[in-house]
Amino acid sequence: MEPVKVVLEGVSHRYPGARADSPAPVSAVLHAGEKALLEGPVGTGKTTLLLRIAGLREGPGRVLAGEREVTRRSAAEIRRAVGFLWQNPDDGLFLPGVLDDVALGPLNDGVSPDEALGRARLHLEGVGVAHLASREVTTLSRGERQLVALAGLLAREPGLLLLDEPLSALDAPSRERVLALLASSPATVLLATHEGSEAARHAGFRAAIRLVAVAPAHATEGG
Amino acid sequence: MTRPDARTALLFGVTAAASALTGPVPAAGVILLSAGLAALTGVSWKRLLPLAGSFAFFLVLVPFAPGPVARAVLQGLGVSLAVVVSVSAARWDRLVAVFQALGAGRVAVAFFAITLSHLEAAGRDARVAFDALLLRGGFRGARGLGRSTSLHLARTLRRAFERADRTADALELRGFAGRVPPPPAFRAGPADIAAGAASLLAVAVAVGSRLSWSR
Repeated sequence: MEPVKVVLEGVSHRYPGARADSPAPVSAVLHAGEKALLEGPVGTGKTTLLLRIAGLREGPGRVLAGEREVTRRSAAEIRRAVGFLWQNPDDGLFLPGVLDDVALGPLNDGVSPDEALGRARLHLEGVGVAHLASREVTTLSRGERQLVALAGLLAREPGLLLLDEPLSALDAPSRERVLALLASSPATVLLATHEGSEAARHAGFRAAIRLVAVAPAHATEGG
Repeated sequence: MTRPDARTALLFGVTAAASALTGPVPAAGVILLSAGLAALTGVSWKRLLPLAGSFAFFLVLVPFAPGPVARAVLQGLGVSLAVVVSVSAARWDRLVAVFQALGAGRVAVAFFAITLSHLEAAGRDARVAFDALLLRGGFRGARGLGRSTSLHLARTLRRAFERADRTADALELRGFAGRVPPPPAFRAGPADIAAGAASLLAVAVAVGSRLSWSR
């Protein structure tokens, strides 16, 4: 799928009962194919911002994905181009078998079962866990589940990858492998992290959005 | 030894349970076969403990019970062990294949598969919550037990609801339209051969026992 350009215009969110926005208004541009970092301490709204971009939350400001504004009406169509990795990998894994789970996305996109399973094997190999293909998800460690969940996103070949702390449970070699894989992907990648930023910068990621925890919160577009 | 495919485990569960119901000798055979299969496939004895505990109580009473009760206890133990061992030994991912092989509809298969994963994750949450409470001094004394149990239940339920919400979002983000991959081709491994042989033995003991009674 073609990489997707993302434009954020004053995007913010305020949870019920909260005294400050989380995130505070964010304006930024992610060019098609760009590898970008979304940084900020815990509680500054990184996950919420990713959910806004994916059209799963509504609030002030505008999100443009490609040429279209992400609204409740357009979200379903835009989400076909989005791969979303949840901070807790369990949230994105649905089937008991590893290979089946990775094949789930392509299969539901209309790909034949054989091709979906072929793609699943390919992407498991890409993230370095081909040996887990015949395992049950319940028997995997958190880091392994994170890699399987990532393979599941990549198998749909999305144009926009929204990744919430994808490096948090990985060891150093796995981190390097994943960052190199993401850096070489044609997709636009927005990687939310409060750790591992340095390694991501080395892999070619740009510090695009920094969320700051102050009251009222500020957000700036990085360089 | 690896665990058997759920299809073989189901075969064992059904044949062994049916055999155990035919009489006390086949039931005793099924108990031995189930224990052997559990040992071979590495079924955690922790899973069998609640069952073993409840039946141990009945077994203590067996010498004092008249014939039919002792027979019923033996047969009940045989059926229960066969079912528990077959379910515990089976690979969970292959249970979806069993559902598919039984001809369940697409929606039912998808619902079953997702529910399995959801339950497993909810179970893991419950275990973590229990351990966390224990490490923070919970479950001590009668009052602590009550408080900790209610806290544990509340947190587990809250997590389950939160997870259900995220599951709905995540399914949408993964483009889920109700299709799950077809069942994998069946390839018999050592555990499947063992389960198959145990099924045959269970049937043979039941048939042999019937024949010897009819003479």
